[in-house]
Amino acid sequence: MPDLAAFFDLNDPLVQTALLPLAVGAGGAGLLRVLAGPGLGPRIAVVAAVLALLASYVATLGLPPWPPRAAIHKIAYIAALGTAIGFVLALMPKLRGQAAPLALAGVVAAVLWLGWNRLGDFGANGPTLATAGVAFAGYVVLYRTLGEAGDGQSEGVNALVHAFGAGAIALIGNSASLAQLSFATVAALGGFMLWNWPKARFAFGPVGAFGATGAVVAMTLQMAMFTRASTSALMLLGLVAFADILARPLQPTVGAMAKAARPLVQGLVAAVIVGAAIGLAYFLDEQP
Amino acid sequence: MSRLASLAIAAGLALPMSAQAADNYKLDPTHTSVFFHANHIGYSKVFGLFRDVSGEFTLDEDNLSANKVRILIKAASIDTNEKARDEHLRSPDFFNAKEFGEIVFVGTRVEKTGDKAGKLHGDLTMLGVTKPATLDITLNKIAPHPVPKYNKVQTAGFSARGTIKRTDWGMKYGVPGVSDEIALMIEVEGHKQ
Repeated sequence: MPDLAAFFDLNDPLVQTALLPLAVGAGGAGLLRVLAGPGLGPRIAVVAAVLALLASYVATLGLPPWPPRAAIHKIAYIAALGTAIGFVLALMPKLRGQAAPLALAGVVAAVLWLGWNRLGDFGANGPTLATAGVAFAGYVVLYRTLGEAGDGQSEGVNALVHAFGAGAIALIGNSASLAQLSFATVAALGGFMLWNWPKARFAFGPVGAFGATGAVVAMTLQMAMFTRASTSALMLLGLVAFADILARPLQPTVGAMAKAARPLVQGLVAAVIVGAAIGLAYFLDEQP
Repeated sequence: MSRLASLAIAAGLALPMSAQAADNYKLDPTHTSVFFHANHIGYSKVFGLFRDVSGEFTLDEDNLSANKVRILIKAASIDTNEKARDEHLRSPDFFNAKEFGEIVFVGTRVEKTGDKAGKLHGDLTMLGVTKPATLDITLNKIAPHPVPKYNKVQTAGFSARGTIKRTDWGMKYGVPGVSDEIALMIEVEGHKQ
C-alpha cells in the first residue's frame, strides 16, 4: 500500500505549492457547492480557491502573526478580508455596479497597509513611482475582474494566468516565498477551474475578484515595494486583464467544441501577455 | 513647577554623573566585523558577514554590569561571497532588507563570568521583532592605540560569540535545510570619544 503520509508531506515544496492547494481548491469547491445548495453554492464555491491559498500559506510560512509585522504576513489577511468584502458585495448587487471606486479603494488600501513600514521613506526603500505604476496595473486587473459579469470561466482563466506570471516574476526577483504563494494561487484556481471546464458551473464574482485576484494584486504590490522584482514586468502583467477582449476575434463561434475552446483560446492569449512580462523581467534582471 | 519640568531637571543632573562613571566609545567600522554561519543541509557551514556596521558602547571598568552597547547593522550589506544567494538573503524570504533595513542589538547588562569574560544580555531587533539575546564576550584589550594616526586614543577591543534561533524573529524560510540556529561571531574595536 502506498505511503500517503510520505506522498503528502507538508514540508515538501511541491505539496505546499501544488498538490495541497489543488486538492483544497477542487475538493473545497465541490464541498461548498453541496453544502450551500444549488442556489448559493455555485456563487460561493470560489471561496475554496482562497481557502486553498491560505492552506498553502500556512503550510509554507506558518500561521501569520496578528498583528502582522511584514507585508508578507498581510497577504494572508488581505486574501481573507478580500473574501469577506466579496461576500458583502455579492449580497449587495447595487454596490457591484461601482467596480471603479471599489477597485480603487481596494488597491489604495492595500498599498498603504503593505507599505506601512516604509511609507516615510518614499522613493528610497519605500513606495516609488514604479510602485504607483504597478498599483495602477493592479487597479485595472481588479476593476476588470470585478466589473465582469462573466460565467466564472473568463475571470478564472485571467486570474490563473495572472498568478502564474506574478510567480515567475517573483522567482526571477529572488523571492521564493512570494513565488510559492503565487504558484499556490495558480494551483488553487486550477482546482476551482476543474469544475468550470468544459462547462461553466461556478461563478467567480466579487468573492473571487477581491479574494483570489486581490491576493495576487497584493503580492505584485509587495514585490514592487520590497523586492527586486521588475516593476516594468509587473506593470505589463496588468494587460492580462484584457485577455478576454483580445481573444474575442480569435474565438471559434461555431462547432460543437466552440464553447469549450473559448477559455482555452483566452488562456493562450493571456499566456502570450504573461510570457512577454516574464521575458521582460528576465532580460531586465541584473542578476550576476 | 510642573512634574515634567522637575523630571527634566532631575534627568539633567543625573546625566553628568553617569558620564563621569562610564566612558563612551564609538565603533571603528574598519576593525569591527559581524560574522555568522548557518548549517547547510548538514553538509557544511556557510559563512557570511555584514559590511555596514556602526554603533557605540559605554565602558565602566569599575561597574561592568552598567555597560551598554548598541550595534546597528544594515541588513542589505549582507555578503556570503555569492551574489545570487545574497540577493535571496535580502528578499522577504530572509532578511527582508527593503522592508526592515536595520538590525539592531542593544546590550543592556553585562554579567561578569571571569577576569576578562562576561555575558552581554540585550535585545536584538530584526524583521520588526525584538527578542532577548545573550552573547559571550571577552575583553581583549584596553589601551591607547599604538598607531600614530590614532593619536594614542584610548581603544577597547572585544570578541563576542553567541547563537540565535532565527525562527524566534520570524525568519522561517528554508528551515531546517538552512539551519534555524545561527552562530554569531562579532569582533569590535571602539575608540573613546
